[in-house]
Amino acid sequence: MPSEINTPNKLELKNIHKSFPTVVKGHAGRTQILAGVDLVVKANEFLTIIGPSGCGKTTLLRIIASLLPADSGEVLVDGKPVTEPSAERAMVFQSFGLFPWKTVLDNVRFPLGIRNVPPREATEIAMTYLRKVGLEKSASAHPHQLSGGMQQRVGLARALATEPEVLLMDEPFGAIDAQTRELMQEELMRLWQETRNTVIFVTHDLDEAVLLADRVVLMSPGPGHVRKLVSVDLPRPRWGYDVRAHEQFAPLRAELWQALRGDLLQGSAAG
Amino acid sequence: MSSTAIKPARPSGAMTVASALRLQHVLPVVSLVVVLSLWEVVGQSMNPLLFAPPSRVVGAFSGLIKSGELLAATLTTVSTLSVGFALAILVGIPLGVLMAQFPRFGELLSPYLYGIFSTPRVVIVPLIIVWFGVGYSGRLFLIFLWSMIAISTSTTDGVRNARPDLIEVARSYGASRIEMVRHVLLPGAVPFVVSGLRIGAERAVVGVVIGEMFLQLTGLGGLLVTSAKSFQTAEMLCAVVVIAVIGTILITALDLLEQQVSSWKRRAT
Ligand SMILES: Nc1ncnc2c1ncn2[C@@H]1O[C@H](COP(=O)(O)OP(=O)(O)O)[C@@H](O)[C@H]1O
Ligand SMILES: [Mg+2]
Repeated sequence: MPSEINTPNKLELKNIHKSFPTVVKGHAGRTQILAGVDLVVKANEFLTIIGPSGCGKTTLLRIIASLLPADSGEVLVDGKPVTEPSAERAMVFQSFGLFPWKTVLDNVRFPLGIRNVPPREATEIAMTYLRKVGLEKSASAHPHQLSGGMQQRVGLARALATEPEVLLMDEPFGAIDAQTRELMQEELMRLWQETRNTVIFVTHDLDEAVLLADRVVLMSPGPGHVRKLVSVDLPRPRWGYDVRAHEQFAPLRAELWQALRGDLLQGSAAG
Repeated sequence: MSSTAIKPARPSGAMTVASALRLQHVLPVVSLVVVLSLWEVVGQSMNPLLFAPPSRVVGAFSGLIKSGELLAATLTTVSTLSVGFALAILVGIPLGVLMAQFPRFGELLSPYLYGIFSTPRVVIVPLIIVWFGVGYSGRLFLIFLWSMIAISTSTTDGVRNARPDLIEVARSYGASRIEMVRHVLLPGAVPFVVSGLRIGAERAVVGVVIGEMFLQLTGLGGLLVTSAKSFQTAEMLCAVVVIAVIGTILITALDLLEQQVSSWKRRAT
C-alpha cells in the first residue's frame, strides 16, 4: 500500500521540537527530548517506531495525540494542523489504561459516550468490537478479572470502536508475556487487514517492529530524532506463514540491529 | 483475632469457616452481656442520683416511650440530623471537586476550612446565636458546616489522588471537564469520599447534640440536659443510648454504601 505513489499523506510531523524543564545541581534548565522530528505517514500505512528507551517515543506519540504541546513544529492530519485531543487519533497504552470501576463493555463504550453516540447504538458498536477481539463473553466482567492479554484486547477494542483515522499504540504488548504477545500480534494483523487504519506502533522489540510494519522508523536519542527509515516488503497478510523464517526477515532485522546496537552501546556507556 | 484463635483447633476447612461465622455473631452478644452486667453491678453500688443501672434505665425507657417524649425527641434529632447531613453531602462533594479542579481556589479556601474544622464547636455557639438566633437554622448550621468541611476536604484529597494515566486516557478521547469528573475523578475518589462521609457523620451527630444542648433545648440533647438538671439519671442515660444507636446506624449504613459502591473490587470470576 505505502509504495503506491497516489496514496495520500495521512499524518505529517514537521520539525517537532520538545524539551522538558529539569533541575540539575539546583539550577533550573530544560532538557531537549525531541529535536527536529520530521515524518510522513501514508494513509493506511502500518508504521512501527523503534529506539532505545528514553529517546522520546512516548513523548512523540503524546504530541501526535495532542496530549502534549510541542515547543515548535506541527502535526498535520489530512494536511490540517491538529491541536486538540480527539478520538480520531486513538491511543492504546502500555499499561492498558482501563477504568477499573467500569465493566469491560462500559470501558469500550466510554469514548462513544464522549462522542454522544446514543447509548443503545454505543452498546451495539462496543459489542461488535468486543466480538472482534474475542471478548463478547467478558462484557460484564471488570478489568481486574482479566489476564493482561485480555485487558489489552479491551484497550484495542476501545480504541477501534471509534473508528479512528490514526491508531497510536505505545508498546501495547510490552507488558504481556511472550507467547500471548505472538498471538496478539497476529490478531492485530487480522484486525488491521479489516479496518486499515493508519497505525503508528511503538515497540522496543525488534522482531515485532519488522513483523508488523510497512515501514520501520528507527529513532535515536540525544535528543530524539528519526535516524533511519526501513521499508518492509514482506508479503501480506502476515499470518498463515512463518514471517520470521521468510528470507527477507533476517536481513531487515540485521540492518536495524546494526543501527540500534550503536545507540544502545552509546546509551549504556553514557549512562 | 477471633478466627485466628480458633483455626488451629479446627483445621478442616468447612468447619472452620462455619464456626468463625458463628463466632462473629456470638462475640458481640457475649460482649454486650458482659458490659451490661458490669454496668448493672457498678450502677447498683453507686448513688442513684449519679448513675443508674440498666434495670432502672429500662424502666425509664418504657416510661419515656409511653409518654411519647422519647419518640418526639428522637424524631426531632433524626430529622435535623438528616437535613443537616444531606446538605453537607450536597455541598461538600461538589465543593471538594471544585477545590481540586481549581487549585488556586482550593489553596485560598482550605486554610479557613481547616481553621474552622479544628475549632471546637462549643466555642462558636455564642457567635451562632448572634448570627442565627437559637432556632432551627442555628442547629442546622452546627451540623452542616463541620460535616461539610470533612466531606469536602476528603473529596479534594481523593480527586487530587486520581490516576494520571486514566486522566490521560479520558483526555485522549476528548472528555470534557464534567465527563472527566464523572467518569474518572469521582469514581477514583470513592474511598476518600466515603471516609469523608464517615468523619462527616460523626461530626454531624456531635453537632446535632451540641445544638440541642446549648442553643435550644429540644430533641435528645434537650432531653439529656433537662433530665440531668433534675437528677433523672436513668432518663439521661436513655437519651445517651438512643444517640449512640443513631450514630451506630449511620456509620453502619455508610459501611454498606461503601461495599455497594466498590462492589466491583470483590466480584470474583
Ligand atoms: N512530563 C515529563 N516531564 C519531564 N521529563 C519527561 C516527561 N515526559 C518524559 N520525560 C523525559 O523525556 C525522556 C523521553 O521519555 P519518553 O518519551 O517516555 O521515552 P521513550 O518512550 O522513548 O522511552 C525521558 O528522559 C523522560 O524522563
Ligand atoms: Mg515509552
